[in-house]
Amino acid sequence: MALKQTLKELWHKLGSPRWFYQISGPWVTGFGVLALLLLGSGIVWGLAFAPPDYQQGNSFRIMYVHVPAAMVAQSVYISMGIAGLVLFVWRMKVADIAIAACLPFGIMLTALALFSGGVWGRPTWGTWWEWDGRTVSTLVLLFLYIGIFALREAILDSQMRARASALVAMVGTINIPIIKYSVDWWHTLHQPASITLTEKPTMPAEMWLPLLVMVLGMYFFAGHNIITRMRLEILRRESGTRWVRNLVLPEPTVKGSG
Amino acid sequence: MQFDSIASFIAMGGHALYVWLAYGATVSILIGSTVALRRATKRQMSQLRWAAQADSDGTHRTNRADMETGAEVEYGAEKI
Repeated sequence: MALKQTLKELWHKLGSPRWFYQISGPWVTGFGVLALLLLGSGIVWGLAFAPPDYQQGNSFRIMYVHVPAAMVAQSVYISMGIAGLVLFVWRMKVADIAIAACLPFGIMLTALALFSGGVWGRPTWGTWWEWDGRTVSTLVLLFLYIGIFALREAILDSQMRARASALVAMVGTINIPIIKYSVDWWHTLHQPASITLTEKPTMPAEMWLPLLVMVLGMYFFAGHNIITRMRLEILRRESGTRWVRNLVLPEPTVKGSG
Repeated sequence: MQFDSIASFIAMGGHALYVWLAYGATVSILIGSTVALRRATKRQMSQLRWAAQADSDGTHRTNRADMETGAEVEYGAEKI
């Protein structure tokens, strides 16, 4: 099977940090440009052009930054869990690099989701914080990210560090369905999803289109940010190898001449 | 445009504090992390360049096997 062979080779190559560094350059640029265009237009659209909500007025515009941050924070965690599985089964170095790169981004985005949720909750629910299923499980997500980050800082042996963080990343994915179904299991303050893949949105197109643009933009931003961080990590780990040397010094000097 | 003046846009129908806090935090995180990452990459590159230069001048030697033999290593899955 030719296809199987090609896929096997690709999988093998994907495990090489050097190969990953060399192919990922254009992705970073592409994702960056798309993120800038989508987030830039989405913010203007959401802030100035989307109609105000008939109940919440203009505070509902916070949705355009809150929902993408929360969605992407969870998706990044799922990817980290998959990277953990790949590391555990195939012991790929690139998977460990991916986990390391997802962590700071995940912490940042989960914190943003909680913060924007708080400032949306204040005018809407009358409180900055409520011990509600959705908010607490999102707080757990933040603690999982911070916990794995701290774990990596604490373990000096690189093999132990990789395996321990992969394990916690995998186990922690159990929190993702809890976040998702929290609004159905516990009927408290947080509203259920207004937009799902299977049903018609409960809001008009002029309200959900900017949200779609923002969500897509945030995914591209995540791709840009995480891959850039992975490339930086690869440069750090591979410093001293011939390919990194040739990367920084384009014309290699002849050794022993003079 | 949903607002008839700049002032009403800034006021956000009385929700200015909340809306601008949320958007402000988002934009600063997006820009801040991108700038920080770019700086860190530049710093790393110049450090690598310095080390490679020192190495080729003979003032500093690394003894990585693939460097000594000069053999280009094949791409392959690297394991932990």
